[in-house]
Amino acid sequence: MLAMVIGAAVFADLLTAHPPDRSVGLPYEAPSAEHLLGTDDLGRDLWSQLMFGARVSLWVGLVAAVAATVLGTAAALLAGWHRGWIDAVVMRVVDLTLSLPFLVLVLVLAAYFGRGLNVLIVLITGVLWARPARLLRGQVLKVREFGHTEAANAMGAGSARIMVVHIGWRLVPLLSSQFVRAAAVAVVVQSGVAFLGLGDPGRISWGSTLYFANNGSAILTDAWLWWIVPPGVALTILIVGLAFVGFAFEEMADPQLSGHGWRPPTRRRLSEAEPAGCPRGVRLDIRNLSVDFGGATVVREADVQVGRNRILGLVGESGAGKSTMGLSVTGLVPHPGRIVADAVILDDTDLRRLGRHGLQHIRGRDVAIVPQAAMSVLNATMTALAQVAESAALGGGDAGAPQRVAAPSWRTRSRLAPQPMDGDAVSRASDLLSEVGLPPDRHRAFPHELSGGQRQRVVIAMAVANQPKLLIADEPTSGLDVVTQQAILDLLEVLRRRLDFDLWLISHDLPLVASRADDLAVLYAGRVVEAGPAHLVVSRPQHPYTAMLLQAFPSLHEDSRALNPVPGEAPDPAALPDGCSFAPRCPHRQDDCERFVPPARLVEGVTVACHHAPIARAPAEPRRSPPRATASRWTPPVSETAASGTANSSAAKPGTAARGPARADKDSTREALRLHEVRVVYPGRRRGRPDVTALDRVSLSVDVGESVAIIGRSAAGKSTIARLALGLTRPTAGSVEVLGRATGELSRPELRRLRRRVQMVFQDPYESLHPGMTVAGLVAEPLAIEGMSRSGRIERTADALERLGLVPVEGFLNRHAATLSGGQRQRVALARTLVAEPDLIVADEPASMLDASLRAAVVGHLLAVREALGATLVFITHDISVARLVADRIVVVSDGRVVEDGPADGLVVAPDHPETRALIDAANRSRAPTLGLAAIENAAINTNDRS
Amino acid sequence: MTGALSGRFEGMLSSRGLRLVAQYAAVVLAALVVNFALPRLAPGDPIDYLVPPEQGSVDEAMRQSMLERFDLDGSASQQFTSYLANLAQGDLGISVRDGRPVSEVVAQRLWWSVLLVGTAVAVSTILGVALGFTAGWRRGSRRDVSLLAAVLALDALPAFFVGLLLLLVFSVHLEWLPVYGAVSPEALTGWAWIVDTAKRLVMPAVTLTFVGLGSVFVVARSAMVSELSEDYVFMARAKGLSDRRVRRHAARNAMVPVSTVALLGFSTLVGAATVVESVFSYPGLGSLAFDAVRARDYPVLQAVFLLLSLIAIAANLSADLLYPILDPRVRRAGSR
Repeated sequence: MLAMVIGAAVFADLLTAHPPDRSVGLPYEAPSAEHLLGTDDLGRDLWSQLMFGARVSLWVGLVAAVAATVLGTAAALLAGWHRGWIDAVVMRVVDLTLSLPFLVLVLVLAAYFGRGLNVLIVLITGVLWARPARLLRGQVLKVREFGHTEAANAMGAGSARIMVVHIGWRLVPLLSSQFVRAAAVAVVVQSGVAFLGLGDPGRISWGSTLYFANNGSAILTDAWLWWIVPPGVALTILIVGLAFVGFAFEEMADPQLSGHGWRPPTRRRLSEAEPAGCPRGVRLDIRNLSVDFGGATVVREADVQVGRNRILGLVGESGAGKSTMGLSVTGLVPHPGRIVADAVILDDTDLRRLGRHGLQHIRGRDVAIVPQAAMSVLNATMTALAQVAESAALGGGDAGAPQRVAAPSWRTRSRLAPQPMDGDAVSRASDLLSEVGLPPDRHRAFPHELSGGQRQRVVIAMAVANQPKLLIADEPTSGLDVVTQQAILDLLEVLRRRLDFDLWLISHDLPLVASRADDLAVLYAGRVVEAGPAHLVVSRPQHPYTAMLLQAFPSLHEDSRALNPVPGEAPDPAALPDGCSFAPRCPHRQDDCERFVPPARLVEGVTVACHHAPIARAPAEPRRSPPRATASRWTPPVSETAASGTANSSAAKPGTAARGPARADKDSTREALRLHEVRVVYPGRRRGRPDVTALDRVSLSVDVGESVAIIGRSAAGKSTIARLALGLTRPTAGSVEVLGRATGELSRPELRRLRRRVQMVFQDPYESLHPGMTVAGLVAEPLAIEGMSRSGRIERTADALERLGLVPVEGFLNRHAATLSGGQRQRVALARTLVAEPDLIVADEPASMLDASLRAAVVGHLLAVREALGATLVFITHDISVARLVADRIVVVSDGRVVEDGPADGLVVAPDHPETRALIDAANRSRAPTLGLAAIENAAINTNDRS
Repeated sequence: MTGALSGRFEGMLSSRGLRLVAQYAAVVLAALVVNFALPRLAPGDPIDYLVPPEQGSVDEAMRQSMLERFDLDGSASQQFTSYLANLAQGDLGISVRDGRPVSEVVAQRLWWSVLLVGTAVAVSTILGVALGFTAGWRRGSRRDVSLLAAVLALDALPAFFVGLLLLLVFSVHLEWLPVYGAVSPEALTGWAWIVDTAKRLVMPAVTLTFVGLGSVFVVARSAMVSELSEDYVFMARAKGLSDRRVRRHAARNAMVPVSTVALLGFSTLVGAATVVESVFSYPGLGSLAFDAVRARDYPVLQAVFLLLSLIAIAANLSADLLYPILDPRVRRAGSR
């Protein structure tokens, strides 16, 4: 359609026989061969007016849109980049321009400044730029906060590079949609002005044709058919075309819109055999469950049972199908998901037989779910109390009595269900919130006013509001620090006893779950590979995967510095290997493993799906690795030569073999990082909100060559220290010296140059890599910033990738970050650190977003990189067991203050400060199973005492 | 509870409230300055604007008296002060076209505009939100796609074209509705007057509603779609709420962006009203502005422009005030 209009505009001369603006015939002629659309009141040819009109419309649309978009982008970058008062001024101007009725504005301005077409274009541009400016500025501000923009900034990239590579790229989709939109509006405004007879008198446009038609009373005669309709339709076609193109761009620009929402799952297929009821002592019986997402089978033929009065723990790596399995019980699997099972029986009800409404009435009442990422599942616009009351109201009836309703009765209840928000529900909700430990004065708080732990408690209150029979808690502790994790698990256990529900815990953290669960099921690539009583599974794992997973977690109580990640990565559920899915990563692999899927069988009291189960117990022998073992046992070949060829490595850079305090007294006369009486106060987000003191009089020094871990709970101020080290945050008071230079005194270019010697490894591997750049570009970015030649960059990049085991290198160089797995991304980030050859590496929880097995691998790679470079390491974490593994010295931060600082081993054995003890205690409790059976029993007794 | 409430308002007043008042004072001032400066910055002699040359020549004495009469003889700051003083007294000058005080002319037209634009804003918002939420509820469904295509096409029709077509069909051919004006030339009273006025309102209001419908619909739809992908919607389902209540959860949050767009769209509709009013010869501010431009009646033009600016600024202000009521994250930001 657009092509037709453009064609008309370009070939107007060829398509017409008459000039559009001169009288060539009699007035009011009807259409004829000579005048295809007849003539107007002055005898002008309407067909040629139509053709030439296209020219005017397109010209105005194009020029005004280009000018407005350019102007708007410039304003947006200016405002979004500099922020502060420039932003405030630009945005006020934008608001003012936007708030004026712009057709009137154009009219008024045209009245003063003349009626020529070019004047009109300028005027249209003058009012059009504001909308793109406003939207683009929002985008600039958003992209500025993106991990990869921060990362580039931390690498010391100049602002021009950041604007073009990191911000500009992200603006393109929005920019194109705004351009098209501006063009459409310009066309509308121009034709509107022309229609009012205020356009350029010398130009014939569609608007002016309609103006003459309106004045020539065309609607009262038959002339409307060829006088009004053609230009009107032409305008509509042009604008509709532009609108659809713009809308298509917009849909692409908004990633939130591209996902598919939830839909009721496809009906379950019932198999022939109908089992009746659960076996004795079983609450939920799932048999032969498969969940298929259009080709990718995420859960395969899984059997799981939740026993009465027992806690089931389901563990596995991310992508193993844990959450899908939990959600499939009540049919909450997202859209393309298809659930097939022989049985999903809750007590006496086969949940597969329930339709959409039946399942809806099981949810929350019989089976409650605490979903993953529970911190973000609350509705931001409702108070905690209102949200819990909404749940409480579903149960109806009197507060005390348990709402155990047999499944079929949902039909009667659905009609009689009381409307929520009655006083009864509110008071019950209030009781529930107190019960989960939310202080009464926080009951009417909105979610954003609560801490992560408090939000988790609110979600739990909602879940238990109707005394469910079964509670499925999906990663209830993810995103919480170690101390809060334990508190939440304690709460679940207390509630379980009080309200008498059975608990199904889902987590990737095997030791953490094992410390609480009665039964364990280990999921790998959608299959249950091992299931049985928790103490048996942990003390004598039968499946090689379980055994290796147990080894992947660091423990405070073994004199070991080795991490033992499970080698390799989990397979893609859409392309599983034949035979045993674990075979490619299994050290006990034999021929039959790759041919046949191992059937589940009972070995020593545990159900296991492995052909060679008894053999597989070999790794369960006590872990023995020499104290202070180097990383070499499990790391890829990062050779020590990496440091040798560096041009910018300073004299202070130590050798690579030794590390730690032993050499501190020798050549570490200089400090890599020094904080003296530093105070950092973040101003309240909005005016009137109290300022936040992130750090309060913190003094800290890290010697060159040293490896220091900074630990503390969330919001203790750990990350602020990392930002200070990179000069991304400036201290409110006190001084910060990085590599011997006080950051407060450096100019911007000097600071950028300093940042190149400091590299940061970010927490989130998904955000810190630019999704549009290739691996080659990502890794070479520090070199590009330094201005190294292309060939040199490629060579160094390939080298670094190889050292980090991203082989074959050719296969990775041209891939985009979006196609990599979490573990691979973090390795790319480490390769980037390696090529930059920094003197100081700052790692901010580099593995906390990853699964246990990957976490171990990433930490190992990090240590290897550090060792190859001989760099100083500052490692930030909330997990003291990781800290001990990585660092020589541990600094404990609490509420913005350093509360303890000492050698890693000593601090772990004899902590001084209560905060350190709390962190150690939490770490011990979550790692209990690695101590063996006795420790679990102790832990069980402890929890009994408390409840 | 009362404590929490008063805390809320204190918070609003102390931080956001004050800042808003200051910002809007600045914006209003800017609008006044622009309004004051426009005729003075425009090329040509100010007298040409007061008495357009084609309407007759002006001798020197008359010229001087006119400069005095319109406060055009002092310095810029003096002129601005007297402009503000006159404004404060409601003195907007004399219409060049019919010699009546501008304030009188404007006041006469204002209420028709309020009626027309108000109706269109209300209808397009309600309809746009309802349709947008319906379409967004099941994104990509047949209902969504057809609604989307229909509304986008409707939105793209130029207002004057729609107006002409409506006139053609309903007035000329079907003769159901009157063609021009807001009131009947016959002196009607009571019920008959109301019916007649309503009849004359229908076509302009429908045309203007089409103009405003698209943007509200698109925003409502995409807000609904993105809210539905949020975790809290999943939670609402997981805790056993019915579809209807789940939809209410999402709609509550989706109203935040929708309200902003609806109120900002107000100024677009005020602009579009110019065209619509001229098609239907509806005696609102838009057609007044149009007539003023054609007759080069600058005092009227200036007054209309000022008034429309103030209306648009008021719409912006109410969007800003509504925001914290809809989104508690903003509301309590200052009160903790």
